[in-house]
Amino acid sequence: MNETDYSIIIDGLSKKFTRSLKKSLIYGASDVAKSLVKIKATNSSLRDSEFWALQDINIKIKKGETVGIIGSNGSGKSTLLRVISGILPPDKGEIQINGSVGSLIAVGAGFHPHMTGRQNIYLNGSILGMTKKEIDEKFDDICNFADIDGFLDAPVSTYSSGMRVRLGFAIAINKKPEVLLVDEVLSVGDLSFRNKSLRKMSELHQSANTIIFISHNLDQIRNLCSRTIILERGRVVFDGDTHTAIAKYQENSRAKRVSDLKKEANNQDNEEAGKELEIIEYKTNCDKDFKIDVTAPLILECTIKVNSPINELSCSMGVLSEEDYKTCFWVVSNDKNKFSISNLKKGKTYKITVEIKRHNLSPGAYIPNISIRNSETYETYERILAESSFQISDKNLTLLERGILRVHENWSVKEV
Amino acid sequence: MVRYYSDMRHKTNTLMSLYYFYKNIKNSRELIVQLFTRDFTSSVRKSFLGVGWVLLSPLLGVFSWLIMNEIGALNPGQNDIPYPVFLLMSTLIWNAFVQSFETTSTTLQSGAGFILQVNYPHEIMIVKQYLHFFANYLISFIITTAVLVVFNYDMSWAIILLPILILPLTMLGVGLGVIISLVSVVIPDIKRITSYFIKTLMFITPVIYVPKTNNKFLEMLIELNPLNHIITGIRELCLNGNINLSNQFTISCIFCLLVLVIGLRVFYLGEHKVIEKML
Repeated sequence: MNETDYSIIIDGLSKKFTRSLKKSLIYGASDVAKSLVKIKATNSSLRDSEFWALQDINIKIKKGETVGIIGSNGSGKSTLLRVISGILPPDKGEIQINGSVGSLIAVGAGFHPHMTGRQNIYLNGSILGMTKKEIDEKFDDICNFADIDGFLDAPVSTYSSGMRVRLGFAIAINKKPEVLLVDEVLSVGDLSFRNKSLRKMSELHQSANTIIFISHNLDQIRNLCSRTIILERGRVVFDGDTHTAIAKYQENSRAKRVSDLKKEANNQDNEEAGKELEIIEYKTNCDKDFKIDVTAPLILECTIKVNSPINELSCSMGVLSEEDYKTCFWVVSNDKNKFSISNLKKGKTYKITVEIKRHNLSPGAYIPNISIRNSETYETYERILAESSFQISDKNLTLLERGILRVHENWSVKEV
Repeated sequence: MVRYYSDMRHKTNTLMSLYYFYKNIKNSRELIVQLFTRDFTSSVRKSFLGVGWVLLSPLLGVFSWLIMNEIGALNPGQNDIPYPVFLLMSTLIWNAFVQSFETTSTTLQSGAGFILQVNYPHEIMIVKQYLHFFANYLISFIITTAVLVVFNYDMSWAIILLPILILPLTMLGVGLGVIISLVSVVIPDIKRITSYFIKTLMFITPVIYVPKTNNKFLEMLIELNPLNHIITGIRELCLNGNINLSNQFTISCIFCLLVLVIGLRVFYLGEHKVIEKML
């Protein structure tokens, strides 16, 4: 492929930062001093308390591609965007960019609170590199997109935070750069604005603009990007199609989350010790890779130890999203009339099992959630069980459709 | 096509870097105007007296020196110009250096809000800061001239040229200012040191008195001080209409130009290295 077919070519890029503020100031001063006397700064090796924020990154992005970048906090995503946009210089390696660059790293950069929306459009527009004529031409588009009618001549300090973001985004996106860098800005603003922004971005994508998109929202990545890169501690650990990337990312982050949550759970265990009931174990029917096939039934199994006699127990088991630990897909509970758990004796251990024939979960990572309550005293024991997180997998990879639930449907067609 | 690579600015020589500055500044005229308007109006709005400060500060400065003179703390030396006039003129000229230095020494800091969010040529902020200084300076120039006219002091028409005559002083101010702006990102203490330095510098410069000393070392310092020759030259021209282009004056001007070029070069090489410390 010819070099001109690429929008961005990143070749062996590395960037380092300093952990300690004092050291960073000392190194900064010495680097500046060195550059004055034309000594090359020590770029290729790390000095004390330095670390690689980006290390040996090699990425080629074709014109018109929309590439997502995912990774945990501190993996170097924002630094990478800053280096690509030319804000920070690379310490090693090289970046080549064909075409004008627009970055949405922080929207509304340079907004002045005392100036009106109108003045700020011109100010911000020119910071982004637009000429007055260009801004004049796009002014109406910007106002329509930002949807700030009636506030245009009010100072920006009177705007709500959402309005500021809308205005900032409207200016940046109407610049229509050939290469657009977007960093997590869509997480702000209300739903209708987010949708509008996403629509605008796919419009840009269709007009063959290259987009690099950072988001923690995997759904947005899935919708917008055909290719996704996973960054981990400043390195590219995966670069390929989005579905594989997301599956891999979820798998990778599982281990980390499990260990984090285990710590929390241990603390909870200590608190619970000596109470009337202890949750000892929680299991699913996943295999040793924590996988359950999408077509198989899901079995949830919970072992409890009873420390003092309980007459009636109510038990709920559910499944949460592993992305936020909040989104609950469903919960099943035993009802006294349906299935009663009663007369639990002191000192005994019980295993409660529930089988869900159709779990309706689409491929992805999930985390079980259990809540056990003494129906008489209402004492409740709730737990998100990280170590039992599991993955619904699809061996045949036939289910690449979107959505968080899988439904069982029947199709038919007939001539009418 | 744009390329970024490590140490890319090393490979550009001084002349080329100045050319880039020129080109970027030319291309970003609109942005400079926008930023200047933003900063200037907000600096006026932020204070209670607003524009009043611009008028008041030079007068207040002169006032304190006058009091010191009255109580005999100063020995202005032989001078055929009335002392208040001498003071007004001197501080006006001296301020060209001090204020251009002070405004440009916050060049990088003045863009802190978006310097790490958007890529744009940072040299335009030097120009923006300079414009800011110059606008303030013009106002105090007009006030001072008005005061001199009101008090019926017979000065030379050359005073109209003052805003141009101060050019070498501002070159020195900007040259030093941008270096300090850069260094103060990594060594914030430098600001305090320079403010002491400027105070000291004032005493070996004929701002509030005509320096006369028997101390050989001080005499040498005064003789070497480029500000000395420039300020004396400009003041003579404005008040008496004497054009006295001594060799020292010319050499001092060349020195100022040199400092400006060095300052811009330092800025070019260093600014992108220090802005990441502003994160």
